[in-house]
Amino acid sequence: MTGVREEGRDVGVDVVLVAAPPRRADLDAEFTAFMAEHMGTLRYTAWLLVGEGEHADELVQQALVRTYGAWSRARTDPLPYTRRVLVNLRTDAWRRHRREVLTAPDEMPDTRVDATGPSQAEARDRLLRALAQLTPHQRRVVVLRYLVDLSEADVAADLGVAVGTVKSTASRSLATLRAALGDDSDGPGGVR
Amino acid sequence: MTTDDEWADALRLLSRAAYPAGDGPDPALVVRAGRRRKAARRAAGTAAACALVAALALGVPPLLDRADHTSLPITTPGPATPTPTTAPPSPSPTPSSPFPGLVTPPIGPADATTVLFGTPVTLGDVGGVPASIIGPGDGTVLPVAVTPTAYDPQSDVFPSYRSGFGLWTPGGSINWITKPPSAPQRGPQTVEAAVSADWIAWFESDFANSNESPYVLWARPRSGGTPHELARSPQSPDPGRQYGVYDHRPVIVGGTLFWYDVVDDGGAPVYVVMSAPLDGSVPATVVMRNALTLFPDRCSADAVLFVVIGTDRRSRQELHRIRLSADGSVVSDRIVDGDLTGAGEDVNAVTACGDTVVVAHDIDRESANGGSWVEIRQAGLPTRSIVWAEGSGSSTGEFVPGPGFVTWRANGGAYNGETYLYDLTDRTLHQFGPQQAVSTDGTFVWWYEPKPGSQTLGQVAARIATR
Repeated sequence: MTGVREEGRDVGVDVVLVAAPPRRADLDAEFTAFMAEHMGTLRYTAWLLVGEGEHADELVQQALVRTYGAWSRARTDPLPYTRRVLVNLRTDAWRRHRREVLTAPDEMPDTRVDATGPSQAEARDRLLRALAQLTPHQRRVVVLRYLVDLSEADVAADLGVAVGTVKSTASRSLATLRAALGDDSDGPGGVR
Repeated sequence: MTTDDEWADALRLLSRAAYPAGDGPDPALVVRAGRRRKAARRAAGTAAACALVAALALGVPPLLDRADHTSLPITTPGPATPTPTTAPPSPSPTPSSPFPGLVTPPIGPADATTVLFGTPVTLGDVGGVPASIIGPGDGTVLPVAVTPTAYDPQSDVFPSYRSGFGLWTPGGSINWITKPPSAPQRGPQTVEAAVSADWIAWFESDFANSNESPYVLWARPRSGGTPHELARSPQSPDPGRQYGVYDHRPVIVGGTLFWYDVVDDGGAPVYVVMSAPLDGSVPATVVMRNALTLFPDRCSADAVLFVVIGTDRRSRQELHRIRLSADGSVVSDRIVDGDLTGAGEDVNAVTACGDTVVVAHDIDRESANGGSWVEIRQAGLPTRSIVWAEGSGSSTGEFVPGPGFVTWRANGGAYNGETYLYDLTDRTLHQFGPQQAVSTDGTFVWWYEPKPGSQTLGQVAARIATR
């Protein structure tokens, strides 16, 4: 094809069919449907990264606001795009607030252990204490690789690192978590 | 013994069992905030964006219901008969004031900030690369860095390239400490710096790995000479774990450098204030632990630091002022008696200007009655004056203290991403426009704002006017 494209049409010898750009109302509806479908996944990911519900909601909102602003190019594959923004926003937040907001083990509230099995509060306590042992980068890798269940290639793409880095970081982080959560045959938290 | 894969599967089950499900943010709020963000980024200039915000500012949503308002505690111990909470003088009450008997001041015009800041100067490009201010200056120059970047869209990262670093006279030239490379070259970047009349100190780090990258802190006399290493990032006893902070906030006080850092304390991060004599005669030491934040006092003639001590934003927090005694030792005074937090109140940020303390609170943000507010206190007095408030979904961030003013950004809620300025001298509130990341060293103020006709941001600086 030859010719010079100008404002969605070609000026030259070839004829190019160009679809009309979608209306804003259509884009908004599309974006709203995307939010409805993936809000749960995004909030789950954000919660694993920050360990607190209101921070997770704040993070998801900021990620979605930015995705909305780039919807014209994000809409072809919006979930990875939003997830990448979310992880990078987490980075931004660390940079801007100048302090980690990961909850340190000593700051975790004590929870009563239910003798009949792990309660949600107990499971949350165990999980967040263990995740707090990881560095931010390790935590991002663990969350995306094991808890959100992405492939190593997808994690590498989301974090902008090599697949080999994901492999080594994931392996090292998992060892840390196994040590923190108790490396027994029942698995972490006795939930198997 | 389970394999890694089996154990990871069990970990996934644990995480799903632990997850406290929630609805997430309100989709309508997201779309509205998204529209506003797009509009702000497209704003051709400050005036248009400010007009929009000023129009929106007419309807401040309710923050708390009446029962909550009347029970808002004053937590600082004071005289036997506490002074009631009062509002600053306001020319006209705002009908939707969030607290009974209180009025939040109307939001003044953004161009009134030129009384404080004068006309800002845009930082130029060096070899097509924009220069960025990276720390406080000495009242005549500001440290700037120029870092060539090459964005990799596939991985969505900017790899780390060496930066040039120099001292910039606003409106003038750059006196280079290290020359910028003519083309992107791999290597550590100068990420932060501080300058005084006698010293220059700067952090070098591989920024591509963000806060996990180790840094090297350098210093040299302002008059010249070979740089000497002042400190390196604290090492974790576990080589697989490295904590870090993004902003070390270096501050030079006399011949001493203070900065913010994190150390590994038995596997948990502990945030600290570090100090080192700039001549390198004594190794760097931790001068305060459990520092939630650190900032210099830009309002006092003798430079001192403020440190907020606590473990997180919901636990007890104290505001301390630290200074150097005549013998060079660090002296700490607690300037607000008691806890900055109140019942059910999260302290989101604290800053201070002399004895004027500014606290940003969040309360029950997930509730329809929740929100955030900014209040002014005087050290040693129980009075809490609310100067700004917003309703559900809002929070505050990027608090910056200056001589006679404080700025912050409102995140979420109706004013998502807008910057405010409260003038402590005449007690007026201004919407400051679409600026981002406002910083100051007490003499200059600088920030990012949209470039006219572009969606990208550019940095500008202005000399703070003397009043």
